[in-house]
Amino acid sequence: MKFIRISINEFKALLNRACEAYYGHKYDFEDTAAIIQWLELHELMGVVNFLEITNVDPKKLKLLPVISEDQKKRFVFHNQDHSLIHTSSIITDMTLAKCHRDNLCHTNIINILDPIAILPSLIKCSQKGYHAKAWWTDSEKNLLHMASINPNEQYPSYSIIKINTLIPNNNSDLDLICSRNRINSIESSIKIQPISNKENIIQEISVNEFKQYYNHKIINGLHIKTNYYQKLLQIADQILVEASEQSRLGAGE
Amino acid sequence: MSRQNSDLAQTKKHLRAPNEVMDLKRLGSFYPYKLSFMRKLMRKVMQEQWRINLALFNLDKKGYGEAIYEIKTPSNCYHFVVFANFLDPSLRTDRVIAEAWDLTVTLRHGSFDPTELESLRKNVPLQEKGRMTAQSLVLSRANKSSRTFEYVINQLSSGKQPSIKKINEVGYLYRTTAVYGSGKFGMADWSKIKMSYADFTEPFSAEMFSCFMIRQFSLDQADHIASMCAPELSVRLDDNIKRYFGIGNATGLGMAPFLIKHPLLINSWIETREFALAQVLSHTLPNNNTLHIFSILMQRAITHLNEIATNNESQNKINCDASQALSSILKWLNQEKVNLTNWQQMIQYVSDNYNVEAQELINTILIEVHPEEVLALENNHDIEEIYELTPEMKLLNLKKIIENQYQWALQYDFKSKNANAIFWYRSEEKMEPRLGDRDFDNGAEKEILIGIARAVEQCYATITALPSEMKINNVAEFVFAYPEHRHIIRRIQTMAKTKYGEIQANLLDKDVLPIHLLRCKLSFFGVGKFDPKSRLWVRNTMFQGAPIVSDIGTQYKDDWIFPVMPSNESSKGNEIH
Repeated sequence: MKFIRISINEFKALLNRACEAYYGHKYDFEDTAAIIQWLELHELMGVVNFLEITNVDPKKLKLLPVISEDQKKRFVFHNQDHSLIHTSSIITDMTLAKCHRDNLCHTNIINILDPIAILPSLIKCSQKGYHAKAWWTDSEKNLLHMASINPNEQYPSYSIIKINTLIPNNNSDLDLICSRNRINSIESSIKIQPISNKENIIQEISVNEFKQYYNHKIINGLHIKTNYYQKLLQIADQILVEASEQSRLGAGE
Repeated sequence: MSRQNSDLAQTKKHLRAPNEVMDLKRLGSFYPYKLSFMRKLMRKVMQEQWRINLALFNLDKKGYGEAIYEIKTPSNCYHFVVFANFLDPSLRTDRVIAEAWDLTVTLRHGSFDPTELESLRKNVPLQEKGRMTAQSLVLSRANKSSRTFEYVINQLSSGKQPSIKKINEVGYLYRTTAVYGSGKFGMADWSKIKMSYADFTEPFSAEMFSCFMIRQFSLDQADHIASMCAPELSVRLDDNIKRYFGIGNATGLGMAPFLIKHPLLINSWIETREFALAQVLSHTLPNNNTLHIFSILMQRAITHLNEIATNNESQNKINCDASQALSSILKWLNQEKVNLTNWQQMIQYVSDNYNVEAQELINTILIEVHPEEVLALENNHDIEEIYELTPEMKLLNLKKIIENQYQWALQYDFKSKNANAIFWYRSEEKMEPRLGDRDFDNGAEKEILIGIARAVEQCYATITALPSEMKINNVAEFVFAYPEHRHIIRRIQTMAKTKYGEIQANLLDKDVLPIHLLRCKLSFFGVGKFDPKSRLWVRNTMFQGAPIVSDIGTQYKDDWIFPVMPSNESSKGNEIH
């Protein structure tokens, strides 16, 4: 398999152009690009997930989630089977605004793809001085994904846990709690036992590991499969305008 | 209040208002100053006594071949690698879309493994089409000045020094046409440079250093070719003349979007400059010594302006007017200096009687006269650029911020044809930024988001037209309903905490002059002698008057602002130290 090594800045610029080409100016394409970049730089398949999204004709995209429930300390969003990559920011905005008012917000997002895209949003909660936790399940593999962060931290911790009991949540649901106070436990919310048993943890990415992933790429750049890189370039190039003698005058000849 | 706090409060009182400073024409009147990046870099190189030696100089008698300079700083070792190739003169162009150059160069970190030279040979001359390693910091290229190069070689080969007047017509032997850094083409990321290379932690310092090294190579190459042409007869360029050679640069529209896309960085650059000026105004008073130095620099600036050679009529007029204005201000100063009790009096007089060009020249000189007040601000330029939304902000507050801090953006009528006549786009040719006319050119649907005023105006219009039944209270709810405004709101909220980040102009206007943006950015780099070739691109000169490599280790005067011809009689006695 062939890879190309690119720098972080190059990658960022490429993603910005690709997202601008795909989403247009109707959405905050730079913010979406930043989410994809964060995922890729931290080994969480940002590029693969984005390329998957781009299989859908952008004209058919309905990027806005629907609010199903809006109460004190509580939101429910219907994400209409779309990727959380392009909705996590505005959902997090709503959650943060409610948390600011009510000191806590429990947000439930139903019918989503790519729930991993919530991780960079947790950092936004932390930067605002909040505790935040997110969890979602994969019922096919009987896995529970959990991520949490404390105020003013650079990274969340993230773990995947094998569970033995039936999963009460729907496969495509995600829960996000953002709070001024420490969130002691989520067991009561999801009623899964035992979740703290270390034997059941099948993958864990600590704050330090996240930092290491990033620092390694600062020093060495990142390796992307050549075919993914070419596909990103192909999308990004759609923002370029065809050249002509007339257009060359527009650069000052 | 502590003394420090009281000093700071005094300085802040003298900061100029954003609508005055961020006016496009004023920004386009900025001159290189004490804290410009080239000046900072030279202070560092000279104070730390970097050791720069030729590790390889394998050029043929026409000057084609390879050269490697080894650079040892107190903490690191770098190599500057040059490939000098024959270039058909018909292919020599300043445009970024060129495919071949006289020189291609790279600056890389670490010890040099000779096997790597082969990889560099394959990639550096390709420029944008090549790939670099993460050890490379800069990739650049330069073309000969056809007017000067042959002339200088001929003079040296015949045992004569070139005429200073002739050199002054151009000012350099080579002109760079692009200087890439910050991770382009696989090179080291800016984050890595900041983290790993203490020598280049100032923005653009590695790029500036590469330009300094191209200048050095151009001088070494000229000496080499002349000595090969006439081993018995030739002479080496006189060191005084070498110092008068700068390195040319051609800058086009590419710089303009950078200024718009990095408002926090621009704020930091301009705030530092404004703070330096305010610091001088609030903490110093004119005295015999500073007035004397001030007058010397005024005189030098007049000579410098008179010596600038450009065919651009408008630039000639600007230089001529500025020179006359300085002469007249100097006269006033000589008459009034006994009555001058503070610098503010002079600033007020200049502001009341002269245009922004003259005003900014005076400000630049005033800063230059007071190194002790401004050098403490030297390390202020790096900032973390994060444009984060504040979703909990009340929508009414956002509206007030726009009305207070973005009032300049609400004054344009974007329904009028002229206010929205231009669009900026990226061409498929090396992604070169270009301007298009909405009525005639293709590509408006792919325009770059550079129209900040228009975006602010559209956002404001949406807020004011909100139907009351929507019950939108905060920013989160607003961007949930109107996600197209999230991008500009992030910017507005972030920039509201700053003073000088937003360039207060409509860049979509029919008569927009991007040249002001270019000159603003170049002044922070330390570039002078602007020679506009159109309203969209400009030639200029870097490092003219700066030390050359053989000066490292000698006493450094940091006195090369407003370079003048070394043999010019009027420049004698113009040294300020």
